[in-house]
Amino acid sequence: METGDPMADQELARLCKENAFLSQRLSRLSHLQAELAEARHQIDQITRRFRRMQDFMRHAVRTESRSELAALTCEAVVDILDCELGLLWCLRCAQGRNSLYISPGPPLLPATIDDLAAWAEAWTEGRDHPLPVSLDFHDHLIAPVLDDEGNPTGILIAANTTAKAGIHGPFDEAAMRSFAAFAGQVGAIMESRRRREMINAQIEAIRLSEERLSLALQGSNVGLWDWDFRSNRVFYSEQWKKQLGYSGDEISDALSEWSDRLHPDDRAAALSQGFDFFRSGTRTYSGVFRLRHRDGNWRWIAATGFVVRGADDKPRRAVGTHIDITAYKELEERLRSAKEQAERANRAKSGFLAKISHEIRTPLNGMIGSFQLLSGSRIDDEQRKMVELGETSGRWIMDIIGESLDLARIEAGKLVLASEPFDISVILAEVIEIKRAKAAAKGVRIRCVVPPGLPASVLGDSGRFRQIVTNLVGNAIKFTERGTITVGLRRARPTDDTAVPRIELIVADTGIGIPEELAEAVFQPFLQIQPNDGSFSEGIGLGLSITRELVSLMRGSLGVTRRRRGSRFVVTLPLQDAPAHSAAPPSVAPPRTRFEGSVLLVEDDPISRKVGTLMIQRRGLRVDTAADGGEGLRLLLAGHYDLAFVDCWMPVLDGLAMTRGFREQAHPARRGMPIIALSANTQPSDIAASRAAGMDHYLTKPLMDEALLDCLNRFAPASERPPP
Amino acid sequence: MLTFHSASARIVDSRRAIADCLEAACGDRSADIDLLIIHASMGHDFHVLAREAAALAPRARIVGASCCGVVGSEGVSESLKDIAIMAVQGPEVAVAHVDDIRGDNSASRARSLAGELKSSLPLVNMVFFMASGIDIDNDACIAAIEAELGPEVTIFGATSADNMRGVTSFQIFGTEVFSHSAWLVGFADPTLSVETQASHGFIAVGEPLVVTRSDGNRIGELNGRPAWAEYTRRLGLAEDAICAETIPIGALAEELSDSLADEYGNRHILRVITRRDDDGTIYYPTTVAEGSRLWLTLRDEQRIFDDLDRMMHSLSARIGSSEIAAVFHADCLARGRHFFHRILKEELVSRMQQPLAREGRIPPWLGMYGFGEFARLGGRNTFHNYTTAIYTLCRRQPAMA
Repeated sequence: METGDPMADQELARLCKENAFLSQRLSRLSHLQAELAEARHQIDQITRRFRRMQDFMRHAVRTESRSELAALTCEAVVDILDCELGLLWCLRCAQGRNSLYISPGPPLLPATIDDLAAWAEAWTEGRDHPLPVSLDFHDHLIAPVLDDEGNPTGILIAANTTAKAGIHGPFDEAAMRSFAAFAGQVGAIMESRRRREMINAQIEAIRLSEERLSLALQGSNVGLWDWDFRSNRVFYSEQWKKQLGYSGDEISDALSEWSDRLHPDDRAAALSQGFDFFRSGTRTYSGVFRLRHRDGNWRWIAATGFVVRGADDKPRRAVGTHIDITAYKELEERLRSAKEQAERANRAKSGFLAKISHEIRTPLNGMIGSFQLLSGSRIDDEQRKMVELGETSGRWIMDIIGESLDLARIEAGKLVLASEPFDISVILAEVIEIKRAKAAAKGVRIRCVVPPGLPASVLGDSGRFRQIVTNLVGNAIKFTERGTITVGLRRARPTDDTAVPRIELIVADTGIGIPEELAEAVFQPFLQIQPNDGSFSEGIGLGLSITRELVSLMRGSLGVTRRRRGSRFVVTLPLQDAPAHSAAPPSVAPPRTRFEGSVLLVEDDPISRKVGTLMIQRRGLRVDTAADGGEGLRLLLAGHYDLAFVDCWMPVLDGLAMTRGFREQAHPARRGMPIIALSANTQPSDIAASRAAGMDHYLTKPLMDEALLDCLNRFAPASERPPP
Repeated sequence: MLTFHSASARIVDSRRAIADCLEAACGDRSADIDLLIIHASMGHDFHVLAREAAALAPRARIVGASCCGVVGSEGVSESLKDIAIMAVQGPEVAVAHVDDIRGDNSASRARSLAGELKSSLPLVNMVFFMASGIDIDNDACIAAIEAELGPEVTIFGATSADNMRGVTSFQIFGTEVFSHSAWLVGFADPTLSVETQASHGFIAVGEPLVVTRSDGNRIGELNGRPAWAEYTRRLGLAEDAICAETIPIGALAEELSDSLADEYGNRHILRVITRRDDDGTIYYPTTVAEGSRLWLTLRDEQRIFDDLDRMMHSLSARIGSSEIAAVFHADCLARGRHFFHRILKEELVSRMQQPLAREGRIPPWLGMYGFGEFARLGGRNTFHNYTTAIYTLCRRQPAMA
């Protein structure tokens, strides 16, 4: 613009130029203001980011799971960088699997997720590939999440998609640095969480273990002690204290809490045991002692301990348990007392039985002996029948006494089986022979079946085997009114686990039979089956019971089955074949019935002395008598006798002492004179005692004629005159 | 009688963000809300916000807008994950909506909008107006609304914004999301009155740019040259600069009359350029006549604080001891982090909120950083830029018997 005035125009031009310059300066100032604002904004942004990172840390430590932490991390990426997406590829995050977490927003397509997963796998393996295009990231940042050792535990990504690029703008240098710092924080948090999870798991395991132990100890009433040798302080568990009636602070941590409570009788041993354990190289300790309860009573304690040694092998600590066994001790005492009582009762019973046996046998001796003498004299048939009845009744009483004593011995476990060779066939035949007459009197036939091939001799207790056969055959005769009783032997069928050969004894009858429901009950003591004809069954019902016990002692078996008619008993016994030379050769000479010589009978019971004298005299021998052992010894030493029968239990001097005296004092040429024990006692110990005293044979009262005859045949002097 | 409850937060998850805010504002009574106004930053998913809000407050009419940051009674935040709400309970409220409102149809669209509101709420005495901040003739909108509702109805509100990129902005109406729409909330509570005021604190400098060609709100030439080229030249920027670069330093000032300048505390009212075309046409926020003189400005930090204090003093004097039911607040996004660092920004907000606090408690407060603000000036509804505009809803004192 021109004014026409050069000066004015010049001034105007200068002013316009200045104005333009000032305008430029103003613009520049505006820019500077804007730049300053931007710089302040950057600072604010950095401060804001780190404040948000702090917020993240605060929330992160409170997350309860790795998944929750990962999700929070993704949100934090968006919050801190003001970007669109935060992603975390977490290695072995959830149940050991790699997992992808994304900040809230529209979900990614499954195919996109697969692409990202494949990329992440490659990235963690060190293969640096570009991000999949399916992600449509316009701008992104990637940072590894590392553990303390620098191993990757994840990949953190901040991103803006193409669709939102206009809003979010590119990541600048400051954003990259903030992101890297944040990724470091995330790694530290995750590592811390991993360690915390491990520690928590261990703490939980310890807690569970302690809880289990505590519950187990509570349930089992086991007290714990833990003795630190260096401090000499002892930890006593609540259960330990409770055992003695204390709790909490009532028991201190002093060793004296234990030692001062020891029973005076146990103290020395317990302390000695404890110190020995401490000093010795043994690691374990156990002891039993009494400790005083709060109420003043004593508690039995079973203690155990275990030493913990240091690296220098010196004992540092001992840990152990206390179990209150007072109840067990009391039970033990009661059991011991009960056992003693039972033993006393048993002894009393045995003694009672033995005494009763002795007391009954003694008069029986006189009774049966008298009947035997009567039957050998001149009496008519009617009188003979009466005598036979009397003798039979006497024998019956003897059987009852014998069975009772057997049962008592079996119950006391004092029945000892012999092991000697014997011929089972012979015993079978002998028993059948004895029983045949009785069976025939009822019209019952006894048939014996012994196949060839059985062992000639077996090892076992011949007497008890005879008893078994006698019981079973006698039982069969008792319950059979007509028909046949078959008694047989055979080898048992072998089984895989049978090492010893077994023999079967079979007794089958055609009698009344045993009801199936009583098949087991018949073996119970005192149980009897009554015959169908209303007659009364003989005996007291111990035969089968004793038979089963004997079979059991022999490690055999006994069973019964019902037949169409009658019963069938089968006894299976393991009987080892005896060596060929064991069997005694049968006697070929017929037994004698008359003898010559003199006999001394020493017997304190006058009836037994009288009966015995008559029985012996009937066999042709001259008999002198003595009423006690002292008189008997004098007569033996002074006189000349061929044989002596001596009662074992007599006043002044008993038979055993008398025998010992004779053996010691008699002339050597006469010391070997046979001395036969006579006794109502039947205990094996009595028999053994007689043998030990020097007696040659043992006869039990009542003295049976056949036993006397057998004994005379063995021990009486031989006679040159033939029998009449 | 309308009651107001507000809350604000910064939460990444949009669903959780709206839920947390509703819980903070209303407790377990979100089902009783009649109106829900949402302001949220561009990082949120507006569809999710709308749907979740509808689910949690099924009875409420829902409106919302995108912004560059929010201000609540909890304070100020400018991030991409901000959200603030105002929940209103009471029958004396209505809403209306119109889509596709632009600079060349602002008048007709705004008229239609106001007509819709009037038909549903005849006794409306104040309105909250929200329109897209990109390409709109706000003076035309004001005129159209006044034509329907009357100039005595106070228009307060803002224009939605993005994060100062001038790319797009969003408006929520019901469960739908729009990018070029406007909504109007009418209040008809006879117990409420509204006091509005705006201030900026900038100073005009240098020779003005003269509008040598314009059409409505579009300026084709400044000083005879293509408007954008001349504008950027004067700003010392390259011609390919974007709005994000011009907005912080390119506030244009229009001269006010003496009386208005007195009330305003400033000789000039400011305008922002939020869009330009490839041919150099720039979009002005109001109709601008050819020959208009537009000055470039400088912001004066001290003046900004002083003008703010002056405004708050004036507002407080008018409000007196009345109970403040709610405060709506529109702030130009250029006055946020692009002008002030955090401490100064918080100081500014504090100077707005403290004078309105009652017994130490800040009333329910919903503010946003948008592209423009509406507030009365000289007794007339006026559109502003680069201001802090405060709208206080006060309970009228009952008439003395």
